[in-house]
Amino acid sequence: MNATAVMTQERTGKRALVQGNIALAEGAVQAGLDCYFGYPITPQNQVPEYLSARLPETGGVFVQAESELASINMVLGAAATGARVMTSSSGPGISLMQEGISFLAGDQLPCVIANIMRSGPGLGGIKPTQGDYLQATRGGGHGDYHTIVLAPASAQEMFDLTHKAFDLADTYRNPVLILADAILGQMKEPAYLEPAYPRLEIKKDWALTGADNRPARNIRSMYLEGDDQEQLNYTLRDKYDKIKKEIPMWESADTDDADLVVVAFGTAARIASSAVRMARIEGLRVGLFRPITLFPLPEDALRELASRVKRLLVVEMNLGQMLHDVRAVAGADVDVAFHGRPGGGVPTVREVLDKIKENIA
Amino acid sequence: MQTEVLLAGFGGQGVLFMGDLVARSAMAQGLHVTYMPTYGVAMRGGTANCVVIMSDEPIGSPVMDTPDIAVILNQQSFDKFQPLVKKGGMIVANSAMVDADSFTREGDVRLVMAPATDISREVTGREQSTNMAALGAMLAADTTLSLEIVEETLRANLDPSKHALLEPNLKTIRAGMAAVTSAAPTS
Repeated sequence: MNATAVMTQERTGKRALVQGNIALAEGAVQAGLDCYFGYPITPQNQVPEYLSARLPETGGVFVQAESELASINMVLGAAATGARVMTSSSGPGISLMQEGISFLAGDQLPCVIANIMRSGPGLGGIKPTQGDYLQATRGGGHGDYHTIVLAPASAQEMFDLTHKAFDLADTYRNPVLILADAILGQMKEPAYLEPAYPRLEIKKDWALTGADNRPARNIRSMYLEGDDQEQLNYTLRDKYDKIKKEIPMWESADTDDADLVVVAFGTAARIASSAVRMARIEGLRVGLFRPITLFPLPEDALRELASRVKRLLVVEMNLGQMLHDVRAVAGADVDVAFHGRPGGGVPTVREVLDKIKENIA
Repeated sequence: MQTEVLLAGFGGQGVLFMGDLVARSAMAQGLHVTYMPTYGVAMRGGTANCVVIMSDEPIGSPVMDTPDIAVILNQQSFDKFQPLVKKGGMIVANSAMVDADSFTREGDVRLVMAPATDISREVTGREQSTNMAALGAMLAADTTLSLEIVEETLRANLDPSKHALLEPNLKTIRAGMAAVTSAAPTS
């Protein structure tokens, strides 16, 4: 698969001015969303609001659950039957869901979970942040597991990556997390609300559909006997290795002759791209590398970049989370500098430009 | 060329509707555009604002930085946002609710005053089209968007249940425009 396939696809037709949350929800509908379960929280409320009207039109199921715990367990139940299922929430709600996400990973059930990040810790506020990067990319719940993590940076990608998330979930039998933030959720931008690719039809020969005329199936994450538990973890490891090889996505700009490359995802990458453009106008050789998959991080592309630039500058809307992964990949050969603002603040273009100048000297 | 427009007023003055219309018009005109509203803890009578960025190139940051144009409908927003406007930029203010004496950016920001609330009342008999009068004033003072595109966009996007309001709103936009073009240039 082309690493930047989602980005480079030529699109035709009519664009709509659409809010990120709505683009995300419509992307799910067009991927064949059968069931949505969720509980309200700002800044993602337009997702359930939209789906509560849209899913009845398509014959889908919409349930406003009594809590995030109920939502994620309804997701688990519906996913076990082979349905295309999603939930969405933000910070505190996603934290509540972690036990269920761990079960989904252990059960190897496909589903899509959207986290429209709001500032934390605790109840925090409704301003944007990227403070949930570590929670998202490490698994977040107990046990040795990962979710696939996709990081959109525009209304178009809110649509495209959500659409794609269902295919990835089914392909790998794994939960997929959309990691966006309040700005991407609330902002309106023009977008094509038709998928670049038709959805994949994947045979689910594991789904619990009633054992008429076939042997019974069993989906579980509890293994008390023998070495079954260890074997499951090796199976998961092999799956994550395959995912790491097959699905990394990223976008890069102006990196060919760059002395310094800014590494940022989501909204931080949008802000950084403005700073990079201004730096280029001033004659500075600066580029931008934007991971689109956060798990798996596009390590090979990043390593290649690290081998030929003088310095990397990681920019995040937190106090340094992806930074540690970038440092680990880049190794000792290249300096990795950082600029970030934690939940409650958003880095400005001017700040990032100043940081670029400070680090390119 | 990138133009960052801040639209601000109090909740209920139609600031978000105006921003949405500006963004849709920019899109119809073939420009790249982002629209970022205030969200969450907003209420009627509180302040509301949104930022629309229009550009002939793909837009990086959608976050408000230093607006080129600020369209401001009430005094509270005027006091809050006038310091942020870019040097060489412009403020279009609703003179029915903003005191010209509170302007502190003489010399580096152009101030365009238009009595948007009065214009709305005169044309429609109501104050609810204050936003459209201010939009008209902006169209007169900055030529990024054409009146024709804005009119077409409003026609295409106004909710059918509000169709009776279309003509009065179009008239108010034109009256807001006329108020600026016929007035002598201000500071």
